[in-house]
Amino acid sequence: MSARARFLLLTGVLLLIAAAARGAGFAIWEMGTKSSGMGGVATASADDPAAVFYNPAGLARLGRAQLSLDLTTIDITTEFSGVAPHPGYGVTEHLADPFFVLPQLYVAVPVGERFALGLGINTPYGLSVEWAHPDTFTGRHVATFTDLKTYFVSPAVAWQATERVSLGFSLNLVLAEVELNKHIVEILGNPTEVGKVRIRGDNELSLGYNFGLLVDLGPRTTLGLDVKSRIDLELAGNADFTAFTGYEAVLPADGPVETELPLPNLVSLGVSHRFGERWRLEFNYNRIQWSAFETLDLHFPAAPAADESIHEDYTNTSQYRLGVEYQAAPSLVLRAGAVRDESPQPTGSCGPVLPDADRRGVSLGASWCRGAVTLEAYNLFLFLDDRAVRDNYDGYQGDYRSFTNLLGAGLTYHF
Amino acid sequence: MKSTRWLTALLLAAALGLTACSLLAPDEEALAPPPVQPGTADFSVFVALGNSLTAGVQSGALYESAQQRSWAALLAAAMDTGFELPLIADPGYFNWVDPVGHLAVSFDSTGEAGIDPVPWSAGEPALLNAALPLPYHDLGIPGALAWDLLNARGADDCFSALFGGSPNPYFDVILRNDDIDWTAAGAAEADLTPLAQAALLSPTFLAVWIGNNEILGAATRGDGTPLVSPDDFAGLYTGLLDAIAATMPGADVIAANVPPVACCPFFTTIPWLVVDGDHVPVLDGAGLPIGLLSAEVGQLVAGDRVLLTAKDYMEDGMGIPDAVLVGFLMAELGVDSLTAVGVLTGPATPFPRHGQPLPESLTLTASELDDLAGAVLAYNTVIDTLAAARSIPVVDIHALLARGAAEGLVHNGQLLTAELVTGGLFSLDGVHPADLGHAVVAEAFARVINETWSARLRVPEQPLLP
Repeated sequence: MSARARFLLLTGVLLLIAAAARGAGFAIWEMGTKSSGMGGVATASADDPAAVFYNPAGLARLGRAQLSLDLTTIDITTEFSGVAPHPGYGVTEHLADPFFVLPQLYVAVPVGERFALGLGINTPYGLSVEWAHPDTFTGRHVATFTDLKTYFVSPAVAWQATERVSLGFSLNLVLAEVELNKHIVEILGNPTEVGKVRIRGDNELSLGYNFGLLVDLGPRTTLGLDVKSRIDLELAGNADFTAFTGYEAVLPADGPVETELPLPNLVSLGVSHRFGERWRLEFNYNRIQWSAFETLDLHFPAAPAADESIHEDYTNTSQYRLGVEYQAAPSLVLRAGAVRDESPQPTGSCGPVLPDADRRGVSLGASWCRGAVTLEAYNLFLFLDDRAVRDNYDGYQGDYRSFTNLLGAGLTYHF
Repeated sequence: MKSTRWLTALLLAAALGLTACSLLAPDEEALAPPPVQPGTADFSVFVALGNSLTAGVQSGALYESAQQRSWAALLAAAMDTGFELPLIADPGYFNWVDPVGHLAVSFDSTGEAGIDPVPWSAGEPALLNAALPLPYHDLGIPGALAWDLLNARGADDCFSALFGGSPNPYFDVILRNDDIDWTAAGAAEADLTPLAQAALLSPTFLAVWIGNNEILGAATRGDGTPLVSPDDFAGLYTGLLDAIAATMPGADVIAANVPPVACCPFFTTIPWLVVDGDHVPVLDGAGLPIGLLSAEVGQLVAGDRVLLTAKDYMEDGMGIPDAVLVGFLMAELGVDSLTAVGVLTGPATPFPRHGQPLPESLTLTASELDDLAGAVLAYNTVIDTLAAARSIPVVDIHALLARGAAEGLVHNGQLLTAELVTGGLFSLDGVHPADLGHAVVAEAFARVINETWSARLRVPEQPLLP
């Protein structure tokens, strides 16, 4: 009957829309306990080993060799309420209880009078969005679980150029892993759930740099500048399709997939000023070139018909950070801060892959030192603005309400 | 031990932070739909009169899950008003003879897609609310003509029974005149026409969408002459609107016109020429496409249409010239022409209908199609003129579906087209809308209602997910 079959006029020409990924405002700025307690300011101070990340110029001013180990925990709550046409009024969804622990390790070693070397290992970009009950989640045709992990290894060098000016540079060696999961819905007369797909990939090694500058304007005032280069992650991996019974023929064979994800340029400008013996105030302004994230292109070398270009349309954003530090006792420093962080994500791409929103945050922090050891802790409350999405590109409309709590602790040893 | 106190304070602060987190976390809170704003209309009793489009037929059958997503049911939900439908258990009746329901896509072991009826797994699908003591609000009856709305009371006295010799059981199922004595509900007679059943409900808002079957009934059997001439239709439509005005004086009325025939995938999916399994036209020795054999015109040419129902016959070789089949068998089996002819003509031939032309009933020639398009325009002029004279707004479904066929329609970010199976606008029978097609139609009704009566209706959810 193969002869007959070849004349079938209704062959299933079912073009496959493979996976939809949406990376997003996925930067994590809380890469040092001390800075995080002050609303994330450090560009104009950079006075601990986390300077490798915040402003490598600060390494030149540390005086002694130091090693710090920091842990940040992130607890995200996101609630979604649907509207018509999809998924409809009365529908609520929430994330599976996400809780992450991110470690950071920094080392700073002075070399001679004017130089210093540093090394940092941290994770300044990442996201993990896992919806509870993925098999019934009303946005499962967009995403059920999305995960991005980055690992930065950053050797740094700093130079005290003059009494007032220091410069720093670090190289970022970046490894990344990405995973995207979703269910596949095809129109077969009516929309029909035919299976699911998991895409996993990683990169070989991507490179970037970080340049920092500190200038003392006077005995109490310091100006800081830090520039982080864009890093293009070239990710490659595999797409694994699982067909639901009866729809095996609709899905393509498992095969390779390639994509590219930009980590954007960032410029941070800061000013720090001491008031009296006990107080210090710092303000940082960050500008992030998120417009680099225009589309996420998924390329399937073995099945180019399934290639997909997902619109992200990110816009450049600003962060405003204000922090204050108070020397409460010889061994105790108290800190507080406030953050305004704009989301680069338009409502069109705000969806189940990453529901982002503008944030406001307040932080508290403290350091306690005894001998060669400093213990630090911070707590940052990030309040995400409620987001009413009515023009989502994937047709998933509703309101998102989110809150993020970041809690961290660190230990610094002074040699 | 001052420092220990500080450490305690620090730990306390951290603990407070954790508590604060759970206190500040947002609660799950569902959004309520915006309240219905009826404007100057009254949606308290909404009745829809019509045919299979209003009933919610999909993929060749009337069945509950499709009925619940019909444009009339969606519009009633947008009005937030009660709306009883003659719900028939899934998978409904594909015909009234075989124990099968609506069409569905399935794939065989080679991955080839087929469209076949779903067998009944739970016995004969029942009418789920047969005992409702009032007429149904959805009085869309599959197969109904304008004549039927005015005159039919059952399967045996509908238009197709009286003038075509084929009774239509849907009139018995939906009108229930054999089972219910409507005088008990306050009617003057025991047996009621669709129009009289609508009047019995005293609607405050009435939608009437009729005239499609008069044209489609001809088109789907390859005929270019509508079942009812435009002049006769004008008389019937006048009678219908006058009867509505006389028997339902309290109702605001909205009407809809007739969509173009040629846009339905029933008439566009199978091309007029011979194609191979990859949909590529097979060419003759001179490099020209080969028209399918036709009993009506010898060989089809560009502009002629083959009906979707020809598919099964064409798989048996019908319409494809023998020379093409012989060439195909030679290439496929690697044999010479003599052997191929033997295979083709032998008793075990894979193409038992080889050499036979497609009968008239399976093709629409370009001129027949022109005649039908002219009839549709004439019908729509009748509908526009008569409705306008009574200040009844008309939903321009003709323009909507013409646009859908030409460039597609965007619904909630998704492009819907008139492609069979994958397009989203049409169900698997190629004539009736699918779920998302009904959503698009319901939105078109809502737009006209909102404009005419200063209402604010929002068509409710039409899930993208099954």
